[in-house]
Amino acid sequence: MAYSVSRLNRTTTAHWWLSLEKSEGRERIYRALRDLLDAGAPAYTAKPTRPALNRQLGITSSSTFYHAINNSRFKEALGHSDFRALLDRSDAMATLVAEAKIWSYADHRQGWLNGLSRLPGGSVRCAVLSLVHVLSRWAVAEPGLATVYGFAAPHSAVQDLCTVLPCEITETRAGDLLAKVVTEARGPFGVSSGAVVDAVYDDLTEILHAPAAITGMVEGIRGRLRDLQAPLGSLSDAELDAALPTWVPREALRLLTEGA
Amino acid sequence: MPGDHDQELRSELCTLVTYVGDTGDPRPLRELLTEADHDSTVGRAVVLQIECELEKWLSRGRDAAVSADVWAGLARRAAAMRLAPDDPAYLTIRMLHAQYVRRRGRPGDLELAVRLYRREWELRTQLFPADDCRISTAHANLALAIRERAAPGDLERALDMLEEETARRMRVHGSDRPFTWIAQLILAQTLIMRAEEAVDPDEVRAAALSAGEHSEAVLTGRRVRFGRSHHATLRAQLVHANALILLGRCADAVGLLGAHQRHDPSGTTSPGKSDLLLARALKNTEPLRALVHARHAVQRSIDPRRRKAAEQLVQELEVS
Repeated sequence: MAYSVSRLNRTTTAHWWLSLEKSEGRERIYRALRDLLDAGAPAYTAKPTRPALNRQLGITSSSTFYHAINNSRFKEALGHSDFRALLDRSDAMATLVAEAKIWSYADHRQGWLNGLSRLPGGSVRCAVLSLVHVLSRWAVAEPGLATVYGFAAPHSAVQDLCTVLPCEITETRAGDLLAKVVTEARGPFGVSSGAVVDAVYDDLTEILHAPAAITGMVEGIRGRLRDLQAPLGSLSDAELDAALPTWVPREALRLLTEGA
Repeated sequence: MPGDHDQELRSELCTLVTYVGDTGDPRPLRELLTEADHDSTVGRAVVLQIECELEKWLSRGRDAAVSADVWAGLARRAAAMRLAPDDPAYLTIRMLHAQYVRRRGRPGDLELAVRLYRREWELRTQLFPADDCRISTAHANLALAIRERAAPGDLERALDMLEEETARRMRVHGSDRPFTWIAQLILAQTLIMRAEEAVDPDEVRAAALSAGEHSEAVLTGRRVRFGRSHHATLRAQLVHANALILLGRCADAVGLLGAHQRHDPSGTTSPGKSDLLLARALKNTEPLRALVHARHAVQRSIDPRRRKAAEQLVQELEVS
C-alpha cells in the first residue's frame, strides 16, 4: 500500500502524542531531562537517574516524576509491541527518555509531514531520504537526547519509517537503521546530509531493492495505471505520441495499463 | 520544542529540498517561500534560507548575470541580518554569488571569481576542522574558477588542485560516494580540456584516457545510485560523451547522447551542450545532421563561450 500522511498520523506514537495533555508540568520535566543530558553530552554514557533529574528540577520528592510517567500512559498506547516489551524490561526512566525523544522530535516531524503533504507523486525514496535528513537535523540539534540510550531514534521516527516503506519491516530493524543515522549525525560528518545518507545507504538499498519492496511499489502505481486505461483507449497512436513526454514508450505504456 | 514554528519550517524546507534534489522540480519550494514570506510570525532568517534553496535551483536555467545580482542581493540581506559567517544560508549565498560571477563572463569577472572563491576557502579553513566537507567544496570550486580564468599556467594549477581534492575525498569518504564523484567529474572535465589543448598526440591520448576512466566511474556510480534520469547522472553523461569523442569512440558518444536527449529534451542539464557534442561526434560521418545539432546548440546555449564554439562549428559545417 502506498503511504499517506493520514496513515502516518495513525501510528501508535502519533496517536499518543496527539491525545497527550501537554501540561506545563510535563514540559518542565522533559526540558529538565534535556538540560541534564545536554550537560553530559557528547558522551553521556551513564543512564540518567531519578535523583539527578530531581536535582535538575529542584525538587526532592520523586512523586512528580512518577505522576508524570503514569499519567502519560505511553506504554499503554504502544500496545503489544517489541518496543513496549523493551520498556517493560527497563525502569521508569527509560520510558521518560522515550517520551522526551518524541517530544523533542515533534516539531521536526510536523515539518516533515507538512513537506510530504506538499509534494506531488508520493515517492517512497523521497519520503525515506527526507526522513533521514530531518532526523539528522534533530540529532545535530539535540546532543543529549540523541546520544542517550545508544543513539536511539525517537520511536515516532521509527514507526514513520515502517509506515512509508512499501514492504513490512520490524520496528526493531527500522530502529537499528535509524540509530545508525543518529550516530552518524552526531559524528564529525554529521553536518553533511550526504554523509549521513551514505552511512545507511546499503541498509536502505537492502530494504528497497528487495522483492517485497518492489511488489509494494508496483502495486502502488496500479491505481494510476487503471486511471489511464479509458483515456489511453480513446486516443489514436498519433494523438498519444503528441500527449506523452519523450521518455515514455507508447506501446509499453499501453501494455502496462491494459494489464492493470 | 513543540510549537516552534521556525523549527517546523526548517524541517519542511529540508523535506522539500530532498524532493527538489531528486527531481529538479522547484515548485513546492516556491509555494513554501510565498507562504512564509507573507507570514509575519516567521523569522526572517528562515525566509532567507527558503529563498536561498529556491534560488539555487532557479539560477541553473537563468542568465548568469541576473543570478549574480540575485546572489549579491541575498548577500547584502544576510549581512544586514548579521548572520554568523558559518550560518548555512550565508555559506550557500557566498558560494553561489562567486559561482554566478564566474559564469557571468563580463571583463574582469573570472579574476574576481577566483578572488571570491579564494577568500571563501581561506575563511572556511578558519571556521571548520581539516577535511570538513565545506572546506572541500570551496577548494574544488576554487580549482574550477582558476581553470576558467585560463591565465597562463591555470589549467595545470587547476589539475593539481583537483587531483589532490579527488584523492582527499577518496581517502576521507571512499571512491563510491557521491561527494567524491563531484570532484572526480570536475577532474575528468579538466583532463578533457588538457586533452583538447595539448598538441602532442601522446599527451592528448593520455589525458583523454584518464578523463574517460574518471568519467566512466562517476557515470556508472551515479546510474546505480541515483538512476538514469537523475540530473547528476545526466551531467556525468555529458562529460563521458565528451571523453568518448576525444578517444575517437564517436558512435558510443552518439548513443550516449541520444539517451541523454530522450531524458532531457530541453537541455536543462547544460543548455546547448548535448547538441554541441552531437555536432562534434557526427561532424565527419553525418555532416548534415551535425549541422542541425550545431544550430540547436547556438540557439540553446546560455554560456557565451559555448555559443561561440557552436557558431564556429556551424560556420565550419556550412562551408563544407
